[in-house]
Amino acid sequence: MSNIPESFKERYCKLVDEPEAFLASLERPLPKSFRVNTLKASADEVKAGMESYGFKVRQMPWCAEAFVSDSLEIGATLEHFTGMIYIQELASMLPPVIVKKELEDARIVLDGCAAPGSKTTQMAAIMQNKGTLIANDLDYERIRALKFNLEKSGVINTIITNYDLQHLPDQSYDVVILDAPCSAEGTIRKNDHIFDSWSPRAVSSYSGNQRVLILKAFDLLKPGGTMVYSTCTFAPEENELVVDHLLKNREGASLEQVSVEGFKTCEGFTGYDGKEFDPRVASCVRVWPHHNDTGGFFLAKVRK
Amino acid sequence: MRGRRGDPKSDGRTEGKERSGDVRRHKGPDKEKQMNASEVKENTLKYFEERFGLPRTIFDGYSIYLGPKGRLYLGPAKVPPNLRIVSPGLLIARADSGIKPSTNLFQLFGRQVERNIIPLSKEQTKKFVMGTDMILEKSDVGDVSDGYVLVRYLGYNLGCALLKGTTLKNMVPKAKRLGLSFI
Repeated sequence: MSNIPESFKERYCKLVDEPEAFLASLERPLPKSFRVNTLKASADEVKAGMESYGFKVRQMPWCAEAFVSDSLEIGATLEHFTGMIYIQELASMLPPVIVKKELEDARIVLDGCAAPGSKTTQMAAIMQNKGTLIANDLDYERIRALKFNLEKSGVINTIITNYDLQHLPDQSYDVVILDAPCSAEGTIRKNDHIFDSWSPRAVSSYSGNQRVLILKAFDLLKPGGTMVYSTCTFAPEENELVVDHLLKNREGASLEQVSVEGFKTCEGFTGYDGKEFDPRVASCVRVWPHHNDTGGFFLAKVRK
Repeated sequence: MRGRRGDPKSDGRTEGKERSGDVRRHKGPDKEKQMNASEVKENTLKYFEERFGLPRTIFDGYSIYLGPKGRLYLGPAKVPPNLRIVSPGLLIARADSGIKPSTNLFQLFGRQVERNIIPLSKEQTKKFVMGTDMILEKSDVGDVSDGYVLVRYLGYNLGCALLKGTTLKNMVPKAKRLGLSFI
């Protein structure tokens, strides 16, 4: 992709383990992936259906519902029409995966920035349509897509709200997912327009907002509750720096080691650009595109 | 009518400890509908049961909300009282003039529908998911009576349609319509 700015390459080639493999991966399109919606079908049923069309589908070792397909036409199937599958990038399936156990036990859950609903529908499926899930999004236009996707997936346990997360009324949640608005550098393999608006200044502006949101999201947790903070960007200012800000401002926050068996991750940076972070941020994980052939991602698991 | 207390401008969510199966209003004060909310819900569940054999138990543990234009939503039983709600759950029916089950209801609970099912062939299924109305053979209709029907292809519950004689009027919402390349 010729439109990757030099400043971007310089920034990340210093940080990543294999710069050439990293840059090469950004040029390749993402594999076509989907998630089986267990509210409507089992992984075996869907696999059999897809194979009957002659598609080769591969189940991911780290999530029984996650599949990669060799066909690009999984959207033109009855499995898609009936909501038995949800077309979703693999890395974006990780936030619910790392709190699967907590979601199974949860009575009330918040998805703070929910639209268009890929993670919300995944969480509702893990919760087996039980309990209460609040799917909030600031952007009213995107809520249409959220509503459409929830209904198509047969989600019942979820209500939609339209708040700026900062102003969401107080309530204590067992689990909060904050998949924060970000510069989306990690989505370049599916959207090469991200660099039209990319700049270090934009990164810095997202970072400011994320630092506000992470404190609010943490404050919405019950004692003993769990939060996932995630982004689809590489920028340390939007990732480790934000988690460091939480640790510095909330004594009750602790980090749990993120690990996804069968999925390669790298630990969070404990410093960047002359700044030292709280060493605990090493428990966060970075997902680089060349390690698992996915988009880029960042995940922190926070306990209150 | 339970649950409509407090600020009349609110959306009717008042307390987090409602019983399951409660009918609460979703939006807007409307006295007439308010009085009829329980009736609308009861009529709808009865219709689902009688026409399709859908047991009421599938709605246990959830709340049913009546929104504008007779829209009935199925949502979580417990909701924080202080939230402004944009959507209270899954749209299951329109009950303004007659009762029309939603496509999403049938795609979710279709496996439990026992009667008034129209099975389609492969070619008919392709047309159906594109939103096309069709004329059926009398033998395809069998003993299915006029009214809303569940449309099915093999194990796939495709959605809701309106049967009149041998005419099957498509009810697939425009946004859901799809050209199938594989079947």
